[in-house]
Amino acid sequence: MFKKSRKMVAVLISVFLLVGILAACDGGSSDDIVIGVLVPTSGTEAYYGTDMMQSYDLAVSEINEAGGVLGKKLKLFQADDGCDPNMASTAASRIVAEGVDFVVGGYCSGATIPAMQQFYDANLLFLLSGANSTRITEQGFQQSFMINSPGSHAVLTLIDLLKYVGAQNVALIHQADEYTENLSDLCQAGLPPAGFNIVAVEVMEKGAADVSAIVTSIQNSGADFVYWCGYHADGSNVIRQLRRGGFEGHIAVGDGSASPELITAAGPEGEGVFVTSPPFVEFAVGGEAFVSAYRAHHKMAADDDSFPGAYATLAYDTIYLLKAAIEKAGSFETAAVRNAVQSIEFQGLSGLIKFTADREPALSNFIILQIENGAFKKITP
Amino acid sequence: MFTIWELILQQTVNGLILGSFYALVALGYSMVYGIIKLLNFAHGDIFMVGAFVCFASFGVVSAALPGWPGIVISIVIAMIIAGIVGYLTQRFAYRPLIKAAAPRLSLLITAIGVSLIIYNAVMVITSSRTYFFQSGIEAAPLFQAGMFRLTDIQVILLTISASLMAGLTLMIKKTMVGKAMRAIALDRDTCRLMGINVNKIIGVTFFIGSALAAIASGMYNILYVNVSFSMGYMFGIKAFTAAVIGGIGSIPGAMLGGLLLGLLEAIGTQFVGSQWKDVFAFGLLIVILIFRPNGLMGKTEIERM
Amino acid sequence: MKLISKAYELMDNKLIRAGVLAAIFLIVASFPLYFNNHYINIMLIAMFYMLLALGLNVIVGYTGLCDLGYAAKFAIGAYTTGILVNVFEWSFWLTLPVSIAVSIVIAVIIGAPTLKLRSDYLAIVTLGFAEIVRITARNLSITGAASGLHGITRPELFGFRLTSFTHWFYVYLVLIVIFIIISFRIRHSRFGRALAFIREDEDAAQAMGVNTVLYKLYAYILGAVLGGITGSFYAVQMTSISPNSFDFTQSVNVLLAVILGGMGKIPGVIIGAAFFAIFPEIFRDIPFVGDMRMLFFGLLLVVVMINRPQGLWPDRLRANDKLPDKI
Repeated sequence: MFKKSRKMVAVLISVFLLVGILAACDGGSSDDIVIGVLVPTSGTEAYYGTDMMQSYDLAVSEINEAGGVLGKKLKLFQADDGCDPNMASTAASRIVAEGVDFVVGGYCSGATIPAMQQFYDANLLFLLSGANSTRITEQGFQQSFMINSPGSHAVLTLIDLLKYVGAQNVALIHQADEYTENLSDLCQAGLPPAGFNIVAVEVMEKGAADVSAIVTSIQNSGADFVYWCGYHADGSNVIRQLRRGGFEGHIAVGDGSASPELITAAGPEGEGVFVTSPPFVEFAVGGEAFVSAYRAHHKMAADDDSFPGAYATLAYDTIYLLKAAIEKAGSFETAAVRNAVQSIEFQGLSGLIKFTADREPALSNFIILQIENGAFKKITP
Repeated sequence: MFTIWELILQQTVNGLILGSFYALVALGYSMVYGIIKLLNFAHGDIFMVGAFVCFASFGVVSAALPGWPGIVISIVIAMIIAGIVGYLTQRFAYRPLIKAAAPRLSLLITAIGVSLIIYNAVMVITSSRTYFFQSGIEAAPLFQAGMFRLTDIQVILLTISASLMAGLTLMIKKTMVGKAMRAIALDRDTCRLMGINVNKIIGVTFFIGSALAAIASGMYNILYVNVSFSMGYMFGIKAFTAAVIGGIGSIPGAMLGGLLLGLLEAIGTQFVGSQWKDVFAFGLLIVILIFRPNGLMGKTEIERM
Repeated sequence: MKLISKAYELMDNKLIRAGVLAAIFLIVASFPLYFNNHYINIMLIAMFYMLLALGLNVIVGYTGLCDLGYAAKFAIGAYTTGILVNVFEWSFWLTLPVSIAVSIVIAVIIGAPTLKLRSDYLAIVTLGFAEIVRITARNLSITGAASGLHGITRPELFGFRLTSFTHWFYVYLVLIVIFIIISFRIRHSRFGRALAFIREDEDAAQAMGVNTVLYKLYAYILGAVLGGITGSFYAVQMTSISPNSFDFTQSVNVLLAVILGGMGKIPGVIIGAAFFAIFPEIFRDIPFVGDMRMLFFGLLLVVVMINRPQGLWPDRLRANDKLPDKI
């Protein structure tokens, strides 16, 4: 018994070493333009990361079939940030060491920010398709652009919504991480000047499940509107417990919860819930063509409706925006392409994209959705 | 708005419900600790396995038996499977170490290893998705006074937890297996000399502890719906904390600790704020341990003989 | 087996040992010449864990206290430095003594009343304290709340700003050497022998006149200070810190490194940390298996613990004597 398992240890260790050697040997150079992709493909946010990666892949293969950019083919190199700051740091160094020409991606703001310093040190242009905490641009890295509308745009949309439903006293719930706290902070700064009261700010830990105490606390605060700043998995739970606890006001959720899964998970209690949402592909002009191309490219079964999700359009647009900027600059130089991005006006699936001097989108891409009879419906206040 | 008494009553109910989940899982920690002095880190993951088994079997059973009958059957299946998983961890990971009289820390690390295995295995199998348990059961208010309300599900869950705890206490006090467990906790070698099959009793302890966690996860599914691979992690740490507050190794202590932690969290959320509730709970834990170094109901014992 | 004991014998010769250590140092120091930045970054992570493991080793390995909240110790150092550099614009090097002082004060506050607890209760107290530190850092605005501190200025050394991975590789290398020397000196001092006595049999140590509570407190403070220093360097190397970097998983990681390698044995602890940092990185690229890397890690952990309960490279003192049933 003892000897056998010692052998096993020896085998394990030799496998480990062999794999290490193999891993060290791969890689190589080619004439392609390599785009590094930083998205989470493992961990709790893997769904969004995978969706974004598949959209990048679709855009790149379309472009390559049409002859590439300035005569060169594009290639993707993906590294998994796991939505975790430490993993993001290694992922970023992998991307930099691969010698990529551009970087796209970024879903979790908390994981994206630590990676940005490395891209900056390596002088790489970084286009962020998903992450939208305003602290990203506060870092002041001049070669990083945010494609998705920041949380400050969500607050403007939320104000429209509040006026539309006639609510006055708002309770906020966030999940104590970079993105959700930023959204809650922006609401706390932006809503009172517009004439609304913030009556409660609560924190629900990720995956905490029981929110009955928070529900009671919110009911006691006299709120008539709850804005959930967190992610969809816990969001459905919050919606359900709010309703079961007897909360009768309006409920809205932020862009982190904009997923069709929210509807199935929240069940009947989800009816009437609002979403301040990123540009969902179903509501985009030309969205249907995109969906069928996406599904064909990834050979999805007819009954599989899991993808594309809310960030697919933004990811797809990111690659085409990069292509347009490179063609406008006429070169692959970081500085030239960067300036081209700064001054670009790009019509994408998600709408018109152009940038402010702070490298944020000048136009909001937020839309308001409402759950009605088990489906999202677009609302125009 | 609530009146202050309604508010306190409502938060007490909230806390008791959460606390009874903590208590059921804390029992598993405490039973295992009592018998082999192991902080079974993998117990939170057993809870998660129970939730998934319950979810999966309800998916199959509910077609024929929707509602409560289906749920009861799926919880029984979850109990059996979680119990077997718990037994297997003991058989293949912990027993060799106990036999070799390995240091306590090695045992702890093995438990962390087992936890990593279960956690990551389920993560890969479920491709880290969150699933939603659609029980089809609607909560109906049973009692309402002012803003205070109590639903039927809440009452059912509290009753089940209370009867489970009473049953377990009786079992440990009265049955032969329970007596053997207590005897092994006192002195394993003497038990062996007296002809008690120590390994078997340890196995039974793991099975019962895991089955209790599975009942908790089944009821948790009904109330909170979300099922994901990471659900056992923080929950396990909380339950473990509850077991220690009560006095680890003590069965009534685990129940008391669980209920107390649940109450502390609910009261903390209301009066200290949800962002500080864990600081409040852990701070009180440290204070309790400073003044009662063996937990609320733990016995003073000498660590090494 | 013969070969190993022969090697041990050889290593007892001071000259040979110095030669071997110098050779290892030179080989390691030349790594940046032939590895690219990504591999150096992974080495940095490994070295970071080595520093933490060496610090925790004083508490767990030398003294036998079970600490499940080591993340709090390096969080304190990291935040002290981060705040002083970011908000008050201090030079990094001036923050180090402050970070040490804060680590000592907090270690005394938390250690003095709790170190008399039985080991499992101590484990939960350290865990609870670590959660308190993390949540406090997450809630306060001076610590940057959930988002943490970003853009922490990198320090200068002799008028030369430390920016690249290679710079940090050498900084960490020097730190590791210093930590090893400190650990070695402790291990072979009167203080270290007292700690070993406490670890093996606390009651006997007390009976022989060792002030166990005081010595445990000293060891706890020392472990906290080493963790605090590591945290300070981590803050400026990463340039951003957030509460997520200091959660319970991180505490467990460091504990795994110490115990996997071999409690109380310096080379063992270092190997444990290196193994822990490098293992998942190597598996990451392999399709399918990559997702299961932590599953394999858990399996390996169990297999190693069953076959070598004292860790991969245990302290000789502990490995030879079969202790009586300690369970």
